[in-house]
Amino acid sequence: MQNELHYLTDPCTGDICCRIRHASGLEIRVAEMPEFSTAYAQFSTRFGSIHRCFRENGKTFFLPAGTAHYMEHKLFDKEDGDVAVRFDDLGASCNAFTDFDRTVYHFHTQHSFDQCLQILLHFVMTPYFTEQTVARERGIILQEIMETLDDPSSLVFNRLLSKMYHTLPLHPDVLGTPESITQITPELLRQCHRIFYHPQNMVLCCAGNVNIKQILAVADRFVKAAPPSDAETIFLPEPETPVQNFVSRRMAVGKQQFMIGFKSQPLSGTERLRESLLCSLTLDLLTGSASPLCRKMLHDGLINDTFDTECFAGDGWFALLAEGESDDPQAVLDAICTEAERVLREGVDETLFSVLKKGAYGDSILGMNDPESVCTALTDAFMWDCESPYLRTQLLVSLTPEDVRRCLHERFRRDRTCLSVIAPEPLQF
Amino acid sequence: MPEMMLGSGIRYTEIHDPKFRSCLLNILFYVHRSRQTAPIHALLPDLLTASSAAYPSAAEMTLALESLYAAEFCGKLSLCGDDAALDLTASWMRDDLALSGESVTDAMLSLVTDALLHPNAADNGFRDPEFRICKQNLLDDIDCTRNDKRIYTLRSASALAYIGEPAAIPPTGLRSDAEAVTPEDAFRLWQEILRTSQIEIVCVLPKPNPQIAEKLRECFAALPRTPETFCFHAPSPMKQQPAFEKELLPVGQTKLAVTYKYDNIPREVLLMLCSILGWNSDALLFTELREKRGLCYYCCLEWSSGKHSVIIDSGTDSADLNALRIGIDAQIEAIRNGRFSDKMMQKAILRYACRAAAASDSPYDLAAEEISRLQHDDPRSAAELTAAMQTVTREQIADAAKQLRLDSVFVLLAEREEAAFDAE
Repeated sequence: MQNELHYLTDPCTGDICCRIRHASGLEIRVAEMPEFSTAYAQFSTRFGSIHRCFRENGKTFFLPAGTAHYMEHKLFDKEDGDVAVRFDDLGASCNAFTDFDRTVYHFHTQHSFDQCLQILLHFVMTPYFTEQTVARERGIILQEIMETLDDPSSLVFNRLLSKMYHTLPLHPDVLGTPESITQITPELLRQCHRIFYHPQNMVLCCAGNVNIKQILAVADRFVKAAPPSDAETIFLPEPETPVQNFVSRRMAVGKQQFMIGFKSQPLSGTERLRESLLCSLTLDLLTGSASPLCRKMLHDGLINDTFDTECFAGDGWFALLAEGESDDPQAVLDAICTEAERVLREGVDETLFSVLKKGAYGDSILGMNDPESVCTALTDAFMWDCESPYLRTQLLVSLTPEDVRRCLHERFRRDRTCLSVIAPEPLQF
Repeated sequence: MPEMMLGSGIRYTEIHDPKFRSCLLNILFYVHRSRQTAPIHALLPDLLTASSAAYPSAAEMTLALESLYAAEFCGKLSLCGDDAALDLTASWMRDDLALSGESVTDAMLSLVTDALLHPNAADNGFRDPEFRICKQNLLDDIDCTRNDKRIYTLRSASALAYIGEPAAIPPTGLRSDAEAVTPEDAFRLWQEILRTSQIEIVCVLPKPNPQIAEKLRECFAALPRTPETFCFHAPSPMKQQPAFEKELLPVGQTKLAVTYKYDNIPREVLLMLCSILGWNSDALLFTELREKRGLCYYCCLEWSSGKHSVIIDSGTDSADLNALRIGIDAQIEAIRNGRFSDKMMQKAILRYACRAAAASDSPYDLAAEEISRLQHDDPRSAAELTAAMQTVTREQIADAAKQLRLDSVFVLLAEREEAAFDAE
C-alpha cells in the first residue's frame, strides 16, 4: 500500500495542513509552520480510561480501572532507563497524558526533530514490561492518585460523573483506584498494547517547524503494518437519565464546591463538533459574564468569579457542565434551568448572540497560531472523526438563534441534571 | 528591540514578529508591600480590568471585549522579592484579520488606557456593586487557600522562610485586613500607585506601530509622577536554627516543602545547579527519589532569585516523609561532593538554550522573558547567558551547593499519620 496525501485549507486564514494515510495504516496529520522555531509532535492512540471492556477471538476481557494510564507510565520505561532522558539529551521536552478516550505522547523541540520523532515512534510502539518495573511504578501512581483524592475540583467532577453515568466507564478517575491498579500486570499491558497500539488505531500529528517529507521518511522506517486485530471495544447501552440527581461529601475545603451536569444525547463526527460549538455559545448566552443571569447571581452573592461552564463531549457522552463555589448550589441549578425556560419563552437576545459569535470567531482564529495548539487541533479532529481541523470557523458561521432554541429545549432538561457538592469539613485542629 | 522611556519611571519595550496573529500589551505597576496594602494590591488587578468608567459593569466590559473578537484584558498580582507588580495584560487580534476592516488595536488601546485613568469610581471610591463583588471574590479566594494542598504548602513554606519580611505576606493578604478594605482605600492607593510606581510596559506586535507608544505616552503624561525606587533583590536572612512547622489536615497525602537559602551565587551557576538538582529529566531529585525509590509522584524545585532561596516540594505517604526529607538533603550533598556527570551539565545548558529559543514562538513567553530579564537586572541576552553557563565549572556548581543551607521545613501532615512525623 502507498502513502496517500490529501491537503486541506482553512478558508478564513489560508492555513494548510496535510492528511496522510500511511502505508502502515497509521493516520498522519501535518501542519508546516516554518516561521516558528518549535517543532511539536503528538503520537496518540484511541485507548483511554473508558476502554475497559473488549472482545477478542470470541472472549470478553475486562480491564481494571487505570490500565491506559498505567500503560502511559510504563511505556517510558525501557531496558536502558527512562526514555525521557533521550529527549532531554537532544534538548527536547517530552511528556504524555491519558484522557477518557485517548492516550497522547508528545514532545517539542527546537532542533533534531528527526531524531526526536524516531525516539517517539520507537518507544511508543515497543513495549518493555517486566514484573519488577510494573510493580515499581505502582507506588508512584498511588501517590498520583492520592493527590487527586485530596483535590476538591477533581473529586467534585469524578463524583458527578459517577452519578450521571450508569454503564459508561467515565468513572472511577482516569488514574484508576488504589485497589484497581494492583490488578495490572505485565501480561495485561502487553495484551492491551497489541490491541490498542495498532497503527490503524493511532494518529501522528506534527506542527511547527517540520516538513512532511522528513516525517514520512521517519514513519516509513519506524511504523510497520501490523496484522489486523479482531478486538472490539464493548460499551453497554447508557440510559438517558442520570443515576442520581444529587451527590455530596465533606472534605477540607474553604467554601462549598459544586458541579452541575446536564446529561444529553451523544453525537459523533462533525455533528458533535457543531453541537459542542453551539452548546458553548448557548452556555455563554445563558450564564456567561455578559449575561443577565450571571450578573444577577454575582450581585446576589450566589456565585463568585470561580463560576465556569463547559461542553463535555466524547465518544458516547455529551453533557453541559457548570462549576464553581456557592453556599447554595441547588439555587444555582434552579436559576440556570429557570433562565433557560425564560429564554425559550421570550426568545434569544440576538444582539448578544451575534457579539458572542464574533468572539468565538476570534477565539477560533487565534487558537491556531502556535505549534502546540495546531498540533492539538489536528489530534482532536482525528479523535472526533472530523475530516479537517479547520471546520470550527465554518460551523460557527452556520449557527443561528433557532439552533440555540433547539439546544435549550433538548439539552437543558431539569430531569437530566445531576448536582455534585463538596462541603467544607469542620476543622478540628 | 526598541526600548524607550515614556515618562518618569515608565519604560516601554516593543518586540516585533510578523508570524503572530495577536498583539500583546503587558503593563506592570511595581509596588512596595505591607500587610495593610497586600489585600488592596490583590484586589486592584480585578477592579481595574473587570469594569471601567466607560464600561461600568463586568457584563458591559465583557461585551466590549467579545465584540473585539474575544480580546482579553485581565490582571494578576506577581510577587518580585519583597515587592510586587500589578501585572495587567491586554491581548487582541491583529487588525488585518478583522471581518469589517475595523481597527481592533485602536479600540483596545482606548479601552485599556481609559480603564487605567478612568476606572469605575465616583466620589474618590471604586463603585459598588463591582467593588463589593471583587472584594467578595478576594475573601472567597482567601477562604479557599487550603483547597489546593500543594499551593497551600508552598505559601505556608514562604511564610515560614521569610517570617518578618514582606515576602511572608500571602499574595491575597490576610482575611482580617481584606475585610477592612473600603472602596475609598482602594481608590486612594490606586491614585498613589499611578503617581509613585515604576511602570514597565512590554508590547509584542506583528509589526512596528508607533501610535501605541505615543498613545501610552499621552496617557501617562497626564499624571503627576514621582516614582519610587524598586529593587527586587532582597535576600532573606538565614535563620540561626532551621525552623520546622507542621499542620494537620484531614487529607490522604502528606506534603513537604523544604527551603534552603544561599548568600551569593551567580545566575548562570544557579541555573546549572537547579537543572542538575531538579529541572533536567535526569535531575537527581527525580531519578533518585521518584524513579529509583518510588517515594513520590513529583519532587519540584523553585528558585527565588530575589530572596536568595530554593524551595523543594513534594507529596508522599506520611510513613515515607522522613525518607523523602533525608533523600532531598542527600541529593544536595551529592552535588556538593561532585557526584554529577558532565553530561548533566551539558543538558542543563541545552535545556536553558532551548527554552529561551522556544519563547520566540509565543507573544506571552516573549513578554515574560523580557520582563524577567529586566527584573533580574541582568542585561545579558539569552544567548549571552547560555555562553556564560558554558564557562561554569564543576567546582563552581559544587561550591554553590555548599552554599545551600537548610532554612526551614513545612509539612502539611495527613491527619491519620501524625505519629509518623519526626521533625528532626
